[in-house]
Amino acid sequence: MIPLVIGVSALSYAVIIFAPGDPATLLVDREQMTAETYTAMRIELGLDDPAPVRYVKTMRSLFTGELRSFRTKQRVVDTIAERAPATLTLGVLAIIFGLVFGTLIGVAQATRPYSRLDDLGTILSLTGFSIPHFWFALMLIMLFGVRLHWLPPSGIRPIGSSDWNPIAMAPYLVMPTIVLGTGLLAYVARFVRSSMLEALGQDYIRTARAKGLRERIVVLRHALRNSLLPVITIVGFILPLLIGGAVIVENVFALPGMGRLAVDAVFARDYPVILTVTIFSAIAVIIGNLISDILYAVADPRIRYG
Amino acid sequence: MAKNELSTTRKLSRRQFMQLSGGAAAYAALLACQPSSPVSGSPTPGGATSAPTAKVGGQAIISLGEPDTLGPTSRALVGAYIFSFIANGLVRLKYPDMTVVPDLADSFSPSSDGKTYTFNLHKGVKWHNGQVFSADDVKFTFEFMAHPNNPAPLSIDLANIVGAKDFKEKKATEITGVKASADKIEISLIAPSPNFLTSLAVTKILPKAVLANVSPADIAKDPFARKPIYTGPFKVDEWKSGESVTYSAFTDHFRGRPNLDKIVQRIFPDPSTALAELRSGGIQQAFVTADQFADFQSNPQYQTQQLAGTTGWFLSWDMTNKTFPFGEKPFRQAVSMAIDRKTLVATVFKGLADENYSLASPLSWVYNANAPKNPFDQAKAKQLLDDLGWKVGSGGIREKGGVRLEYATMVTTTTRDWFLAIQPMLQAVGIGTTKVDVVDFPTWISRLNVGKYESTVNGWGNFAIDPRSDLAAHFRSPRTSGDATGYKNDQVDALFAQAATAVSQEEQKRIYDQIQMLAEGDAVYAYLIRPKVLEVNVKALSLPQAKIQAEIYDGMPQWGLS
Repeated sequence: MIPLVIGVSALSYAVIIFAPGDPATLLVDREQMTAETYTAMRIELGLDDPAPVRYVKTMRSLFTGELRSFRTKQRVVDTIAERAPATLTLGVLAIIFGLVFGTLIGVAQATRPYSRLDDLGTILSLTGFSIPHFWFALMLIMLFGVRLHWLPPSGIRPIGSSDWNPIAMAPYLVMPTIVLGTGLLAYVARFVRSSMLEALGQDYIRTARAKGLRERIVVLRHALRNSLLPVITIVGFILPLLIGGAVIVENVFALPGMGRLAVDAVFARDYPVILTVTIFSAIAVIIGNLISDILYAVADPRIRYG
Repeated sequence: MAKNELSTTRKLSRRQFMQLSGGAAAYAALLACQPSSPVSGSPTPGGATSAPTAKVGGQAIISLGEPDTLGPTSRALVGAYIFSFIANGLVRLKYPDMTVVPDLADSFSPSSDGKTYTFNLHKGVKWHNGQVFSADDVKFTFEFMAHPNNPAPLSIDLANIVGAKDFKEKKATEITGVKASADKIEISLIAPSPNFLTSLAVTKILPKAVLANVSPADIAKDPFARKPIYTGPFKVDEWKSGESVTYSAFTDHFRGRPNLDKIVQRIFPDPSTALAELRSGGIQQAFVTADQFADFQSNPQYQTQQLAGTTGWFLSWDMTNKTFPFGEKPFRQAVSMAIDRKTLVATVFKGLADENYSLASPLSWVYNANAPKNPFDQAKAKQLLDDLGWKVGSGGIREKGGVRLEYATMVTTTTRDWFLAIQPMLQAVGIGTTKVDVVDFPTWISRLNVGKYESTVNGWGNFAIDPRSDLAAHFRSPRTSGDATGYKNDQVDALFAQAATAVSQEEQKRIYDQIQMLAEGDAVYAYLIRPKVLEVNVKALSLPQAKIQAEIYDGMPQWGLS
């Protein structure tokens, strides 16, 4: 994992500094820019050292927690700590939403294959795959926020509250969760449907039915349990997609999360913030994969990692 | 997502804000009130007319961008807006005419030689933490700005204060030119400067007791940067990163408490979200785009205001380019004449913009209405290009010596949409415009700085504290800021040099008129439009009548619920 983090950080650092745009020109007044103020700013930001030196310095201060944003001069770790809860909450909710409803739809489809219900499920999941996040989000806001007044159009908690009260926050999180979780839902539904169909054709299902078990038990206990295995793996690799989606969702719903932090930092060429968010996301993906590997072993006794 | 690049707050410097915020008349008024007669009076902060029905109490939720810091190092436009209702200077600018009026100083008077200013401070002013404000705080503020540990170099106005340079270079332990006594501050200048008072208006006074032990190099890292203590009518309660900033009424404010108890500033990264909130009642005030404005105008639940356009837009070229005729005046005039501004205003801006023909704002005192303009005249544009030897070739694109008149235009995501409307206008006179480089703002400004472009859609915020610097930034060479047009006119440069020593207001005006005659006559830019700034608020919330955006925030104490 450590070599991975070093690799990711070095690569993203290179990408960041090779991107056009000079942070010093964005921080010095356009009109008051003189050779002196510009040079003073470049020195302040440490932009004149050779790239490898800057990389090592940046990484060192990142791990001592002293790395600061070019723009706000706040500690990047503090800013991330402020922003991470929103993104994590949203991510976890979206995963739960996607898994639960995706499984339900997949099971419903698989038990009545090639029926109207199956077709409907297929249409739903294909739409879920293809729908652009920002458009879907805006449509939900227009309908439930502006027209019907059922849900607040944006934000993460009521004005004036500073704590993380789940009951007060719930209405704010409904639409973002749906938008972010729909892609996952579609994935899961497709996976569950096909692996359920496969499982339902297995000999042990015929045996179960032959024993006279009720269909419910056959489907839920025998077929579903076995067909959920591949779903666990999807969660691992869908994490990067969720992070990408969070960027859009947080922007449209004005949520104070890390995705937005990343976008703002990119537009300000705030190198320390971009780098830190990238590393955090990389670590999240690595951990996500690790967890899905472990879960896989837990769920399937046949799999043992040496 | 990145709508309105040039006008989003995070990208604009403080200086640009001053340009945006309507300036010009200030300077004239300043000169008018130059030596002698002390200026006094006690205006309401902001000086805007208060709505008669506004009652005391209640809260308003508004949409405003996220500041970079709320400490003195803020360089964001939004920071300057916020300072106008949380902090005070010795003097402040009265909007919209931008005259200098008293703020923490009840009155001020320059000496007859214009080199010494005496400020009589208001008595009984309190800081947000309840401590008493004094003349020592003022002196402290100047020394904080000029401190040897402050990484920023001395500004021109600060360097003009006697002893500031010695203090910066550690040759003195104080700025000898700033003398604090009981209720007075006396500031001595090296040379008389018409910009001095306006520079004071943007210098917000800092609390010595709070910041005495903070190094100026670390101010942005100090908790002060997130929850500052000033003397303004509102104080900062809480800043939730990426979410909101909450302000509450400072009831001990020296000019009386503001009407509202609370202001919540919500931070929307996407303008369409702010719009949805405005429609659903989640926020009560916001600025909207031209395509949304009509809806609110016709809705009886909202009140709208059309404010003066603060940014003028134009096409510019790298004149050092030898392949294309950018360096030839008739070419630039032809482009300007090819542009049908009326159609541009009517289609792209739904009528909510003004045609632009000059770098200086027509509202500014420096503006010379007689300076040459190149209005829409397609036939003449074609004639000029023909005369230059660029003849219409294949596909209707002009050619000369085997070179097709087809060059690249660098645009941002904002200006791209406008350029789509400009393309057919240029195409109609035989200029190929299909090469469009869409870049983000940081890339745009970096490439502009080093002249790595052929042509671009450029914008400049006017309404500077000193509108003369608008002209200098674009027409004087060498230019210190990022406008790599390569424009150089020795006569214009000589006039700028002459202006630096001209004393009287008439002399200044005469010289700057001449500068515009020459530079605008050279058609350095092909001017486009000035989009209006469009304000919307719910009916229940009453705002002062404003002419420019800065006035809306400056008049925050007068906001009220009816």
